[in-house]
Amino acid sequence: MTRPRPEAVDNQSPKGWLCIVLHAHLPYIRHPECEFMLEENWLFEAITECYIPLLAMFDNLVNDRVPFRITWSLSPTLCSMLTDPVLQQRYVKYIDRLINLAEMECERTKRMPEFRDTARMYLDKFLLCRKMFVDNDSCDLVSHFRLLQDAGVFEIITSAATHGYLPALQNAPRSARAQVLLGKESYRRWFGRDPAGMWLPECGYYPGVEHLLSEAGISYFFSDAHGILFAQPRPRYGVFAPLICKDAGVAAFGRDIASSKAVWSAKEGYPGDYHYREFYRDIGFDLDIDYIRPYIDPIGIRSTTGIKYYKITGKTEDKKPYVREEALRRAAVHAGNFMFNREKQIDYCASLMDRQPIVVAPYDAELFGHWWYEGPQWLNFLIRKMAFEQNTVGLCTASDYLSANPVNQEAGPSFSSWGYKGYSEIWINGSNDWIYPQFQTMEKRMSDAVETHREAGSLAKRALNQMAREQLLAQSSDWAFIMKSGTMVNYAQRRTREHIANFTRLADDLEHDRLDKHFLSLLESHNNIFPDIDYRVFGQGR
Amino acid sequence: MNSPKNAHFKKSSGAVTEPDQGGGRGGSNNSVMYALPRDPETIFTYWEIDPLALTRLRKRMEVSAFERSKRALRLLDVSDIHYNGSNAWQTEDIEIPDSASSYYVRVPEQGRTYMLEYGVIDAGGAFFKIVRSNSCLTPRKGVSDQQDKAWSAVHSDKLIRASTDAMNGDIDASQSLDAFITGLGSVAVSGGIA
Repeated sequence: MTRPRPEAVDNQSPKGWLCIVLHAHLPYIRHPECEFMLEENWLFEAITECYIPLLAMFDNLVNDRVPFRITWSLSPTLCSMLTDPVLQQRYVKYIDRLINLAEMECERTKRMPEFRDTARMYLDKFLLCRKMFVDNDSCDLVSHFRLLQDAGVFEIITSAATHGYLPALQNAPRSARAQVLLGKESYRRWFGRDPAGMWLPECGYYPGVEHLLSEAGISYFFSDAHGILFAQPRPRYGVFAPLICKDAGVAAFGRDIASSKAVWSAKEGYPGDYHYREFYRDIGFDLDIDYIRPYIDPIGIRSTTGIKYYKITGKTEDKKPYVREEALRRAAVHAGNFMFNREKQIDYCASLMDRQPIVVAPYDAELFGHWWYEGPQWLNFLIRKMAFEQNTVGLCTASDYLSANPVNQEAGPSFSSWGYKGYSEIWINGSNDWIYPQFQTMEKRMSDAVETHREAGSLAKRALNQMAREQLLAQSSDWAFIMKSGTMVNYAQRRTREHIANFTRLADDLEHDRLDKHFLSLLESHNNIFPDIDYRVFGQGR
Repeated sequence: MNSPKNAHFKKSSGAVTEPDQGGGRGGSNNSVMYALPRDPETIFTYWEIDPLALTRLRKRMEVSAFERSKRALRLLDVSDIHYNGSNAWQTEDIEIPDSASSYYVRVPEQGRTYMLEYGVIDAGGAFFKIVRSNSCLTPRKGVSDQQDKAWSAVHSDKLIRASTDAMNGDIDASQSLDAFITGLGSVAVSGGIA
């Protein structure tokens, strides 16, 4: 297919570029020791509601020969889970249960005209998910992403190994380095090439991280707008062109605020439209407990099923039935509005610049289809409209832009994140700050262990590798975020404490030459992320 | 030299500290202390004090003076200098509870480099250091005054204003930046699917 690369500029070249980035990430949640673990459903819901609908939509664009370029950031924890046989098998059971529930719903609503079409919509969707997951992709969605990258429509980038929030690891430099290097190495295993870019977890940048990226051979990253706007010296083009980090040669692209607001903002964003599907009215809570029991937590705690029959309707408890056709019409209108605003934005910026401006629009991939049910269709309409209804804005990736514009201003970006208030308050506050002294202790003990055991024997090597896994798993930004957000706090605290405890016991046992093979094997089978890890990644580095 | 702008950042009285390098370790004891910038106004600091260090300090001070002393943090502005124990631009002492092992320190000025020391203050206001943290840089919350001559442009201000989602010509750059800074982080909803 034709790739609208910026270097192919000619008379028909657009005035500027839109770089859409879908950041897909979930923390590593895998509990082979339990028959059912509610938190594993986060992955299954994301597969059903986000990843498969998006992949199916992109497949259709390719089949229809619509030109586009989209950047995906796939975190290593997500790729690890998507390629894990235990979770793959569990997903098949999950989708089979949902198909069964949707069939029951079709039967239950067959004389309820306001709901029956929606019930049928869910059944069709779940059947499609099963077909794509089992028949088309042999249960391996990562291979599907890889194919679309190899076809030239996706640029897939990596993220930090376990999505560690790097500004909070400034005082644990070996951990920060291991997060970056393992993010790169794990990518190679799944995609057979080096990643061009890295998604900094939570857009968290601190001065100096660019040297870690440079060591890993990463060409670019994304920061929030103020990371670029508050750079030293001031950025000539605002966020509409990248900066090159001094002495590292790594490019920093800044998030565009206007295009973010259109989608993210609770007040102004499209997803709050009257006709879109209401997220919080799920039959897991609405229907009789005996009817729904087989499809929720086996102990009878109500939870979401993904089947929801109402539209947002407005700020009222009296929700109206969801009408898919109406919602899709709104998605098309919103896509047109988004495109129109980008055209105006690019027109304006291009008039002030001596090069093509780039608008960077990163979103959590899980917004599309999960929180915003019509999100994949909005994206579908947007890409098609951009391809055929205007010539002002083209879709590109950061790599495309750098190829066409290799010379950029040098500057030092500013510490920033895309979290509340723009810095680290979400990840460092009274609800979660107890983790940082623990991280410090692990950093010291791991550093000492690496120096002491440069050439470890077989068993010690296994223990050191597992210590590295436990340390990295404790550092996921998700745990600190959840502790602050106030939902599922116990799980986040338990996970953090468990990984710290596992690390500590292994470190103690290693120091006293009393490693417990059974305990080690158990951890290796449960917390099995990064099977090829080499603990020496926690070495001193440069 | 880059001196601080904030006139309210008062210099502390009496400093009884031996010159050593910052970086987390407590010199001759096993105490450790770390400083982590959280946002332009706040540093999160945490420490672990070697009990022997307290015992030694108790001997070094008169016992009665030690008993009357208060645990404290000393904030040091070490921007653009190699700190030698006495050349900080400014210092400020903050009394803290004896039991504290971490603290959020409000800094007087953004975009500067700070260190923290943990110690005690005696009745006369003299500070006795036990451990010193690493240095950390707080971010500047605003557009830099520094222009890059090779990349300066007449339209730079307009592009910066457009970057804050304020393309309206009636709003001047400082207004749009103020609104932008106030709204930082308000358009992101991170957290995936949980």
